[in-house]
Amino acid sequence: MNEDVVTTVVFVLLALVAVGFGFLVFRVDSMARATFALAVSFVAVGGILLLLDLDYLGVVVVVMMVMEMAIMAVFMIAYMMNPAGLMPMSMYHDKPRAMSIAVGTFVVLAGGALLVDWPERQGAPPDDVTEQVGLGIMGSHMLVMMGIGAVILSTIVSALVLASARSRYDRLGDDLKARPARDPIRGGVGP
Amino acid sequence: MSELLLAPLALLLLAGLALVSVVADRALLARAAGRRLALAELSPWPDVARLLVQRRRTTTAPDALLWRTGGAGLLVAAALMLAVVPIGDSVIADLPIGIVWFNAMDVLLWAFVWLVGWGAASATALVGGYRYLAQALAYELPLMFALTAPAVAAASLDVREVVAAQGDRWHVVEMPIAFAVFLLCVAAFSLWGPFRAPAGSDLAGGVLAETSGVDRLLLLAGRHALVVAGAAFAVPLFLGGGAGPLLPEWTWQLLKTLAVLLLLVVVRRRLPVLRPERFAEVGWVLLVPLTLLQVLVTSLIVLAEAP
Amino acid sequence: MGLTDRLARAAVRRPHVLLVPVPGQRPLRWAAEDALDELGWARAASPAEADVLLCCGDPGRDLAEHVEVAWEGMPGPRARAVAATTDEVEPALRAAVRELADVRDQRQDARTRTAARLSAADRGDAAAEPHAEPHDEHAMSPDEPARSPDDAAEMDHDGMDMADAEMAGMDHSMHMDMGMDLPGGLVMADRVEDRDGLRLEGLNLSLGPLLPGWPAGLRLDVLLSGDVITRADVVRLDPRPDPPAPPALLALDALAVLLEATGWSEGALRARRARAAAGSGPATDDLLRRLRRARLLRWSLRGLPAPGGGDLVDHLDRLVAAVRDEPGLPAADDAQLAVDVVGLDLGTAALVVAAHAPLQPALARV
Repeated sequence: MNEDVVTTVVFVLLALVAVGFGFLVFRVDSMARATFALAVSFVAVGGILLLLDLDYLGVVVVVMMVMEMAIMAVFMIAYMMNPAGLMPMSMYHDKPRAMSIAVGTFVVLAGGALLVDWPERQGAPPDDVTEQVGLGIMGSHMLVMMGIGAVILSTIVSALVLASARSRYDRLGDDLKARPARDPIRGGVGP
Repeated sequence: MSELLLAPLALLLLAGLALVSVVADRALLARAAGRRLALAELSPWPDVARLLVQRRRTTTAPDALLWRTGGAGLLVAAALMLAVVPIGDSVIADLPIGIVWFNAMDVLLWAFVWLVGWGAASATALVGGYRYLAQALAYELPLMFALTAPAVAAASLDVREVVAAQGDRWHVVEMPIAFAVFLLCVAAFSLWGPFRAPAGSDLAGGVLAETSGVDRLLLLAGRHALVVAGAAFAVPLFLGGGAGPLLPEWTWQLLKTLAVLLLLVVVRRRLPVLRPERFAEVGWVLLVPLTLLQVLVTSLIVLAEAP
Repeated sequence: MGLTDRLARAAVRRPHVLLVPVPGQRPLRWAAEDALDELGWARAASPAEADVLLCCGDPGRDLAEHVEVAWEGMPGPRARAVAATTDEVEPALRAAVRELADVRDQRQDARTRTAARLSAADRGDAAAEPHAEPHDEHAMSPDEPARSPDDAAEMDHDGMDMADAEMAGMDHSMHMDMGMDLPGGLVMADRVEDRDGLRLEGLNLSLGPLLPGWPAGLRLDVLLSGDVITRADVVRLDPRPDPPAPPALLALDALAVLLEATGWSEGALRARRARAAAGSGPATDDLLRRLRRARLLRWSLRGLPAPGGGDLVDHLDRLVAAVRDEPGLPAADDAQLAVDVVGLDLGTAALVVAAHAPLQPALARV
């Protein structure tokens, strides 16, 4: 009983943090603060996953999201006009419509989550919840999923190579024999 | 041991080992300079007192919230890293995913160090913060793969099971590359030795540039704490935890942690600072394939030894 | 009261010293560096870290302005010392330490500083900051002096931020298309092409004379795009020729500065000790032996332009040869330096400047 109360309290806190900081992203002026408000929101979601006994998923969410937010901060500050938040600025456009759509969506989803007739739990949760979730989602297609991961990585690498303004021939000359490579700064290893 | 006692004990150990690392560092410094190794020379108390007495300072239009959060964050991350290291028989946080937790804590450093650089509103501090991200991009994947190797060998992400799986043969014997890369990455995320470019003196101190007094003390203490936490984590992962003849387990663990820590301290001043742009290529082109190969070798060993 | 005094006494046992090398006073700089090595005190990398400001000689007018800004940037407790001759270095340091330990004096200093800032804020004096031109934005810390946490509660900081518009690195002489005035008197930066074809913010920065390991009186005014230098101007403040010295010692000095810049502080220390030992003997041999084996050092120095052509690895070899009294010590060329640093990022540029550092045109003549 006590544990349930603690879990509920922690859940409510984390949920409030997640939603609150998510909202803060649009309220703060500074891009750095917006990014890290989002990071805190994601960490709270990771915490909620931990409450669901999905340890691995929860921690991996934290890992991925903090890394992404750190890199995103770099780009937000590079591209946005008010990175340090020194000027007051508003990130809202078309306030009435946007607000009604946002609040409406939230009400529908939250209402659904609260009012749907969820089935009663029968039995106890399995030992390794993460493994069961994985099997449940991917099931017999596990090998395909792992293969897709490798394919996505190759796609990213190929896209980078194609998008790069400088190719091997720019770096190493037409016969690919120029050493050292003609780079603006020298790399650590390799030509 | 009671969970309640364990946390303060762990913090005490953290502080104690950090003190050892500082003293060892000063000893090496004194020896290189030809000065005598007296207590006055080795004691870090003057440096701490100096920072306690020094006033804090600020800059025009800093982002104080982010700045101070980042500053305090290093110590917090180090303490959280220590939460999954088994101390003797018990662990503060008996997580089944201890290795990934350690990884998560070192990723938090990406945010904290960048925030310190950003919050100071100073050109050199900002460049230092960005340098840290550049370095982090280079070492993070090798670190993740180096952490994967012992997990594969033990078929578990739980640190205690990794210790148990080592038995007679320590992981450092079958995965030396993973061990070396892990130590390298510990130095890298702690802004230690050859990886201190983000706090380098060429940038007037980089992320440390505008900090003074207590803020600076927190950052410097955080660096030492991180190295200690990393060294402490290397022991259960690669060096067999508390395994060893004659002496009790916790003694062995302490001795091994000290050994790794001293190794890191020796490396600190020996090597020149690696420039992040040079290290980036090393990290991606050299370390990632090496650690992947290491994981492959480990997997083959596991398959070969499977009953 | 007893605790404060105990703390203060412990705090001054190992102060960090901000060394101000003055052009033309090379022997004083050497004496100061040797004294610091002897005492085991660290050299501060920025005013934020420093307790003691030591001028190696009497700074000229331009350099003195920078020294004042650095002095302002030092948080209390702080002390200041000037050494006019090599004998005065250690007494000056000790006197500075006594000044640091004087708690009442330091409190008075703190009160005076805060009061000065407050009155400037009251006057609403936008030009209250001592220097409004770009040249004060040197990368040390053109920022506010310390505010003690105790006094903080009594002061209104917002007013001070507005009035004391120290440009924290933003330059208002850059393109002003934006025209937006931000709080603190800061301005939006405009964007500039950089070496990789990106358009990043253009920042006018003065890499000042007081950065650690920089040649005396050398200021590099750069236009940064991101952290890459797209334009540089070398300015020598109060230039004065140094007294002549044997090339072996000059080469050891150059090695010490370069090794310190690469972060190999142990090597730099050995080079300084070899220099103090007059360039011959076991210290020198030990250093040269270590340099021969320093593979990581050579790897990290490859590809960077050096004075006299070639890259920094060649420069290292030339310096080693000069230590052994073989001729070939390159001369410094400020115009070449301004060209060399373009396209380098700040850290790499600091290395190139450190290599350029102790060499002066006079060196070419033995």
